[in-house]
Amino acid sequence: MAAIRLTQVNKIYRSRGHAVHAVKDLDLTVEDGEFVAILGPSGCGKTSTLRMIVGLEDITGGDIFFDGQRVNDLDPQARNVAMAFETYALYPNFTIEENLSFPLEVRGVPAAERRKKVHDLAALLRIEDILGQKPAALSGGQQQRVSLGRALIRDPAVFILDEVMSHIDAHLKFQMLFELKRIHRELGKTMIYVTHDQVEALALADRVAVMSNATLQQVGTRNQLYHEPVNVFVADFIGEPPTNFFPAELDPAGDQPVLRAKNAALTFSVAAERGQRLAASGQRDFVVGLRPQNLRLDGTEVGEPPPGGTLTAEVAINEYVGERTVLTLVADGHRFRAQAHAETTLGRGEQVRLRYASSDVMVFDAKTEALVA
Amino acid sequence: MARLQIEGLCKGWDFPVIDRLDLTVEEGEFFIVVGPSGIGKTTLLRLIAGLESADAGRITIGGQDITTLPPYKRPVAMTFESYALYPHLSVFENIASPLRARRLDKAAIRKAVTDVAKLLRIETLLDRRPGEISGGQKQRTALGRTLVAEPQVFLLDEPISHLDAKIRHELRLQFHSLEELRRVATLYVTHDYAEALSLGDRIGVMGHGGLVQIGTARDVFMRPRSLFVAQHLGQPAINAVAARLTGEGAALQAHAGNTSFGFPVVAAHAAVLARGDCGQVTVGIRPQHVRVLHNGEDAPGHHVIDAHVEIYEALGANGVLVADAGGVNLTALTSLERDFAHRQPVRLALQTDSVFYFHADSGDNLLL
Repeated sequence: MAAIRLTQVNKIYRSRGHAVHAVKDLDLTVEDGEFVAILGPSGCGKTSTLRMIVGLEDITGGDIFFDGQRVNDLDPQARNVAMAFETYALYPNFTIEENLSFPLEVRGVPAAERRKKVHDLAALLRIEDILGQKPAALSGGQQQRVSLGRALIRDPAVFILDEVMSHIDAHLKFQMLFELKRIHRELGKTMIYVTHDQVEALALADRVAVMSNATLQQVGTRNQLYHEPVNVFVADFIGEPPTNFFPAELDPAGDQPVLRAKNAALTFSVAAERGQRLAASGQRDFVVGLRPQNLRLDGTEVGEPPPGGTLTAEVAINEYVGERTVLTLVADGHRFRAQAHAETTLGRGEQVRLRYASSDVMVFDAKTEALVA
Repeated sequence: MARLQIEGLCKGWDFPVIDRLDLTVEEGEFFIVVGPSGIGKTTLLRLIAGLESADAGRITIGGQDITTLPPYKRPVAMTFESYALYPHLSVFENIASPLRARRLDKAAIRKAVTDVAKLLRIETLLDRRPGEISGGQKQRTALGRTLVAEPQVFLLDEPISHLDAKIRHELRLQFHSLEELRRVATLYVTHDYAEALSLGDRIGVMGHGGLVQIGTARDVFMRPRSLFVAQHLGQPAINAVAARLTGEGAALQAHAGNTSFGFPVVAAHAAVLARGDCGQVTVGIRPQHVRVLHNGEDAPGHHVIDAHVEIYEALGANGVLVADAGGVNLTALTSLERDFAHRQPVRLALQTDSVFYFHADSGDNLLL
C-alpha cells in the first residue's frame, strides 16, 4: 500500500544539442488505494512522468515520495512498483501457470505458496481455465489478462499501467475496462493508468490528471473535467465528439447581455446574472464552448426545454455511427458539430435549428483561455 | 484514375486466411474493411501492395493485372500500422521519400510536404527524427508519407485508430473531404466499428476467409447478415441470448431455456419467422434498445421486464448496466446522471421491434 506525492517534478532531455522540457513543475498526489489516470495527447509528458515514478528515468528536478519517503534515488526494485506494458513478454515455452509462477520462483518463494498465489490471482483475473495452456494458444484478451497477472503476482505496493489497451480491439476493450475496474475494487491497490484515450481514463479512474505541453492542466473527477474544465485545452480534449468553440464578443446592451460569435449572427444567451458578471469584468472578448451533446435538434427534446437559445445552421456532413449520428454543421462560416439520434437522415445542405440550454454554455477568457465562472 | 478489382483471391499458410475473396472498389470510393484482429485484414492489404504473393486469384487496377507485379511497380501507396519510418531521416525526409523517388524538384517537394504536415498538425516536427517524436506523431508522419504519393489506390492500415479522440475526429473530417482521397480508390482497414461506419462509402465486415457482409453503414448496422456481424458492430456488444420460439403466427413468444426470460415477438417479425423452421434461435438485442425505466415510468410499445442490477459502471459518455433479467444477463445503456446499486431492482423496457433473430447454428439473420 502506498500514497504517492510528486512535488515540483521536472524532466529535461538533452539530445543532439537541444533540450526538451518534457515535464514542468508537476505537483500531483495519488492517495493510497486510489485509481488515477494520467491523460494527455501524444508528447505531453505523461510517459516521462510515469517512468520517473517507476524509477526508469532520472528526475531532473523536484521530489517523488512514496508514503512520505523520498524515493528519487531508489532504484526501481526498491520502490516496489509493478508496471504492466501493453504487451508483456511471456515465455512461449512455459504454460501460463509457469509464466505467472516464475517471478516468485526467482525470489525463492516455496512451491506450495507459489501455487496458492498463482491460483488466487488466476481466480481474480478469471483465467483459471487456461493455466495449463501456452501463450500462443490465447486470445488477445486472455494475453492481456495474463500480462496483468505477471505484474500483479509480485504483490506490488503501486501498480502502473502504460497504454495497456491501445491495441485491443474495440469490442474487447469494453469488457477489459469492466474487468480492470472490478480488479481494482477487489485489490484496493494504488493504481496509475497512463493513456491518451479519454474514454479509458474517464471510465476507469477515480480522478484524471490531464496533461498538455509538459504541464498539468487539471486534476479532477469525470464530472469536474466535463462540466467545469479549467481551460480551453481541457474542454477540448475531454468529450467526444470534441467540444465546439466560437470566438465571441460580449454585447452588454440591455439587462440581458449575450455573447455574439465573431463575424456571425450566432448568439449565445447565458443566465442574466452570469451575463451581468461577464459585463462587469470589463472584458469583451471571450471564447464560447458548447458540447455536441448539448446541441439538440429542435423538436427532439422531451418535455419543456430549459432556458436557453437556438442556432440555425446547414448540414455539411452526416456521420452515422450506429448508435448515434454526428452532424457537422456550418453557420456564417463557423463549423461545429451536434449529436443526434441514429435515425437522423438529414443530409448535406439541409437547414436545421438546434436548441441549447444556457447552463451548458461554457465561457472562456479569449486571451488566457481560462474558464470564466 | 482507376478502380480496384479483386477476383477469387486466395492466401493461406497452415490454414486459409483469405478464401476466394471478390471485391470491387470504385474510383473515388472510400471502402472500409472492419473486423477483429488477426482475421486477415492486413494480409489483404499486403496482397494488393505486393508484399505477399497470392495463392490464386487476380488483382487489377484500372484494368491492368498487377497480381504478379513487384511491389514498386504497383500504383498503390500503403500506410503500415507499425509506421515503418526511416529512423535516420527527419520527419520531413520521411514524408518526402516517395517524392524523391519520383525526382520532383525541390520547391515542389517542400510545398507538398509542408501542406500535408499542416493538415496532419506535425508542421513543427519536420526536423525531428522518428526516435524523438511520440507514437501518435509517428503514425501521422507515416500517414503523411502515404498521402503525398499520388497513387491510383490508397491502402490504409489502421491509420488513425491509435490517435487521441480529438485528432481522430479531425482526421475523420479530413477523410470525408480530402480531394486526394476522393479521386482514387481507397481501401481502409480498421478494427473500430465507429470509424468504419462514419467513414465508409461502403463497409466490408471481415470474418474467417473473407468479407461476410458488404454494404452501407446503415445496411451493416441495421440489417446485419449474421450474429458475427452484429457482435462486431456496436459498443457495448449486442446482447446474444439463446432462446426458443414457441406458439404460432401472431402469438409467437421467445423464451430462454431454464430461465423466466421471455417476450412476445412483434407481429412483423413473427410473420417472417413463422415461415421457417427456427425453433431454437439466438436473440440479439442491442444495449441501446434496453431502457432502464424510472420509477413509475410507462413504456408503451415496449416489453417491460423485472430485473435486478448485477454491475453498473459509468463508462465515458454513458453508464453501462448489466442486469439479471429472470436468469439472463442483459446489458443496457443509461445516462450518466443515474446511479445504481448492486442487487437493486430495476424495470427494463425492451424495444422488441428492434430485436434480431439469428439461426442457432449458422448465425444467419432469420429476418432477412
